[in-house]
Amino acid sequence: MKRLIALVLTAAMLMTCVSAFADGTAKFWLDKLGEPELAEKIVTAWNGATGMTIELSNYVDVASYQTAVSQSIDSDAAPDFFTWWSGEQLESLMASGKIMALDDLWETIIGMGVAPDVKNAFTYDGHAYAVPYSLLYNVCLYNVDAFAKAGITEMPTTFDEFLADCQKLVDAGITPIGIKNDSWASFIWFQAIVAAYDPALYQGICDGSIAYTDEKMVEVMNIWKDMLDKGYFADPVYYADNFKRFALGEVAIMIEPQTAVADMYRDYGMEAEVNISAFCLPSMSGAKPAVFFEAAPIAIPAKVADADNAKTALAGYFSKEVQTVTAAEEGIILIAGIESDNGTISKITALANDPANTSMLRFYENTPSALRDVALDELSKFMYGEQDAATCLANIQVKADETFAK
Amino acid sequence: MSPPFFKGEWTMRQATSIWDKIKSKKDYLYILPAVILVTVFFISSILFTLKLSFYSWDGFNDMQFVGFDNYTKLFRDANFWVSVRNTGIWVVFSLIISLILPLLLAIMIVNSRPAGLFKNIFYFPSTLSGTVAGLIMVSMLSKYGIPQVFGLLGLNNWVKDWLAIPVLNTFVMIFMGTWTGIGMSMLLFIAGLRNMDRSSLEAAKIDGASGIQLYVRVVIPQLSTTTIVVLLMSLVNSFKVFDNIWVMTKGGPFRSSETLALTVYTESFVRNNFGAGAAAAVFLTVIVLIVAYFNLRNTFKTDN
Repeated sequence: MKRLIALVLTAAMLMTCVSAFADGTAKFWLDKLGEPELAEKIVTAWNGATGMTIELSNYVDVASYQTAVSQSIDSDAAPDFFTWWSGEQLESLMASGKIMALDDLWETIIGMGVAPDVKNAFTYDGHAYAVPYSLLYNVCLYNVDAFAKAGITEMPTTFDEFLADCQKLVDAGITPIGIKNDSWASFIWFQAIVAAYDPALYQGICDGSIAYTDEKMVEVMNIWKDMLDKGYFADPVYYADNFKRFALGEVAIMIEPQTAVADMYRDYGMEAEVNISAFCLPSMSGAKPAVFFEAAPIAIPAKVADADNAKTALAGYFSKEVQTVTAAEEGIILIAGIESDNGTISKITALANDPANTSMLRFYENTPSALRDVALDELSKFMYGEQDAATCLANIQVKADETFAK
Repeated sequence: MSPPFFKGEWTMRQATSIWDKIKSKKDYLYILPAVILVTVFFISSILFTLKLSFYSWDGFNDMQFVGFDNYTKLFRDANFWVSVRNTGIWVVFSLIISLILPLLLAIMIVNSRPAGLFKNIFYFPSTLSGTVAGLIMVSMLSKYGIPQVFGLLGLNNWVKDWLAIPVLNTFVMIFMGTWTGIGMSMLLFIAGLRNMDRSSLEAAKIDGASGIQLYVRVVIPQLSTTTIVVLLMSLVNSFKVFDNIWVMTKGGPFRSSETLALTVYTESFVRNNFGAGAAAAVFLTVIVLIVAYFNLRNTFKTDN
């Protein structure tokens, strides 16, 4: 009798396991979807495209999310796939052997319209370990009405023209550039001005081949300081206040990704190409203007229960059904052939894909995290006027020497 | 030969003896669940944190023993000493404010009608979580909040994001902590005032004591036990303050408003330096234990 009961229970457990795979359920963890309605729309489109059930869990706190992933990635509780951060953080995850190579999945999604170049952002030792959750392009957003008030009708094509426009805005009583007070955000204008000075200089400080104390970097910092002294930058404020003052026309320019365009329309009714538009910060040397991108990766745990099931489900994210939703709601477009209804978002995508511009991975992901954290603090002190440029660069270089020596 | 267990009288005698022993120890059984929970969730965490402080670990790869490296790096880090300074500011000012303000409120409430209404009004903020209170304050103190009022009064230099101004933001957050933290201290003082020995108060009045003199010489000394409890609570809370700082400034700008509790969190969960975070946690724990020890010792002395 006992044997019979054990047999029945074992059979029931096996059937449960089999049915879990047979119905194509996949767990997706992320920390990037704060709005439940949007998550619902994406999941509905995803389920429809794949015929599977995507169980999406969004974490609102980054630290909780990282802890949940790190503690579950080796266990049965791990998700089938999850978002992470590109650059060194993804590299560390790859080095630990806790995520699997996705070269075969890349073949599938390239066939679905994902640009092959994006693969480079997730490739280590010849293998791609993640696929993109989002590709965000950071460009200058500007308030059309504020520009009109200052008499600016043409977008700047040289850095000198850009500075002249900033002065026109100041003269019109408008602070040209709005910045947020998040400690992590101090690199945004730093990377923009360095790359405008020389894209190779930017890449050089990121990979350690050029010192932060290089005379070109000193010159860049002096240009930034001059802009600060001339009142081209507003005081750093809470990010929501920065959006508000941009919408009110108190500041005219801010560097943000295309998701901000969707936010400005949703929260303040700023019509694309009527109230808000975008341009690339021009180069100082005649080089191609830089568009900084951030690519959030999705990875699959190496010990996932059913890798084929996870890959099939994940491929569904790049379906036209899902991408149409992400394009409309967030301005995130990962496959060719999808257009956003928002003219400014389309313009940003066009700027990013324009061969006249150059796409560069943003400083946050392009610099080793230990060095980046020090740099963010030092740059923040510089922005707040708590530290001079020379000390700022020297302090960052001390950490750079230590980091790149390893 | 049958074993003793099956002999009737022996079994009864043994059973009675065992039962008596259990009865004599039953008090311990009541606290056993708590002991198990504390051992599993607190003691094991403390031991793991202590161990972790001697290792380098990013949460994914294998832990590597580094000896005292985490401690030496921490003590050489200027940001760590900013955290220590800020923690000191929090402790000192929280103590002063959380003692004086609740005591004054308690005295006023005890002498006012309707006392219950005022008590509830001042206690209400204590029911808010640090996160919710922090979000409210972020909204109120943002550039388009209270600072705009100063702008209307012509004080345009005050129209700034106060939480983005180093050092000032720490004091703003201490005020916020006071707003949500005084409720419990106030209730304790109200209880202390109501349970006070009235005869000594009457005797002092007959001897001519009145007003501030009465409170300083008679009332406050009688509240010493309550004062020590409030002091200890405020002390520990101010050392471990985290949630409202995290919500309001995240320790910024440039880590200028970070406290030790925030350093523990950011090192561990933001920078993934779990070893450094554990070292900071051990440092904070040792400081809190030392300070708490002296306070507890004083409490027991008072009880005796």
